Amino acid sequence: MEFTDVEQKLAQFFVEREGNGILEEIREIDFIGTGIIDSLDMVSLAMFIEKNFHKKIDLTSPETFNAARRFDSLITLITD
Amino acid sequence: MKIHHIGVVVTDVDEALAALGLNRLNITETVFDPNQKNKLHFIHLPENNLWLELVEPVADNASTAKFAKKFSIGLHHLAMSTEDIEAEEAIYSERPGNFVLGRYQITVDSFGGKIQTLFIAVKGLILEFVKVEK
Repeated sequence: MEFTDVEQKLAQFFVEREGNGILEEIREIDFIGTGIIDSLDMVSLAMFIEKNFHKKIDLTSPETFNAARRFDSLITLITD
Repeated sequence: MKIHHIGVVVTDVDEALAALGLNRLNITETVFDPNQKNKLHFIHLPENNLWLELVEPVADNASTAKFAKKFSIGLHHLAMSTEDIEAEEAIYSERPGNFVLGRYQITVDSFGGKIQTLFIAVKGLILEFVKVEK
């Protein structure tokens, strides 16, 4: 699977948790629905995004929670 | 900063009380928080002039459900007294590694009535700020 630099960097967050195998289907996974990300992980994800992309996401926003479901919507959240 | 209370998330209140050498008679007040779907059991620790809050999630989507499932009994947050919630949010929310988790209002008679609360993750530490409305 081809990744841009931003995608590759974000994918690292999930690889560290789930292993390289997640890269095969990372665009199809519902991270929250499958339990890969829970409420505890949201703070870790926010810290990862702040550190690697210099963007502070709003954890009180339902839009952030929805964006965290999918890889592509997370990329949009980071790059918008 | 003055510590207002310590929040401990529990799956079983009686088990947690026993672990702490306490029993149900030590609970001063129990409040249901409909926003976060938790039962809050308040215990005063006079030796420390401090409150202990046992947080018991009552639904799978309660704010502390995953934490409770993971730890069964776990130190969850440290709460500080404040006179100005907005000022605390302004100071803390912009710092790297800090993220606002939520703002709530609830009535806790043991704390003096209606209170405002602000939860902030400071990296791995959850801080709560408590303002008693006058």
